[in-house]
Amino acid sequence: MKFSNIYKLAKKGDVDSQYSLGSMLHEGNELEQDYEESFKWLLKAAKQGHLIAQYNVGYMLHRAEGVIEDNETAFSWFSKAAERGLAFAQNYLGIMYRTGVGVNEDFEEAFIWFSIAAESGLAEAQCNLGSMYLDGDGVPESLSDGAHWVDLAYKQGNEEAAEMINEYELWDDVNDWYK
Amino acid sequence: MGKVTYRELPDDHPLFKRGWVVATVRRPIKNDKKPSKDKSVVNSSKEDNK
Repeated sequence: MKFSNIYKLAKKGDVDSQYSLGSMLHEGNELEQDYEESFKWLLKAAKQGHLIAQYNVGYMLHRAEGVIEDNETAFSWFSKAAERGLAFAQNYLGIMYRTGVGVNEDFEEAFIWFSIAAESGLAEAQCNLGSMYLDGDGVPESLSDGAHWVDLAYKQGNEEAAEMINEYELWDDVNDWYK
Repeated sequence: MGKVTYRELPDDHPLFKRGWVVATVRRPIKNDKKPSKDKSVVNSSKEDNK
């Protein structure tokens, strides 16, 4: 669809067009990159319930892309998308709980959200969950469980997982899990 | 407070256009505080899965 048509539909309130326009402005490929305009359109789509837009708005608020940083509101948008099952948002919610950004630090909550996202196969969430086990944050310390989750991410080609296996010296523990 | 690392999603990602990221967080590992290799403290879930 041509940009002019997307723009017209977006202005009329079409949620998919609002999302497309916001994404195009963020990407800066077909249109000149403009984070402020991107945020404006993605927020409209998010308010209408567009799942990916809700994640994107949360991210832009958290990273101050085109908008003043507001981690409490970012947390609220991530929560909406996480409750609806988006693994990327579930993972980010876990990060906010673990780091205490936008919400009070709560390792148990972080563990829950990382677990949900990791079970769905998101490699980064698997690393995050593995890290919780390895550090004993929100869960009793467990090398074997930590190694297991990091290994699942590693098998997906995740570079962070490879780093973790080396740094925590998990090669034996990864192998032990499958014995 | 852990260190957050961001990775840009690939251009052909099924959900996101180019320019979005996914994040990981972990505490910096200290040489004198690596996880205990004492298997007695290891959670028994591995055995449960047998």
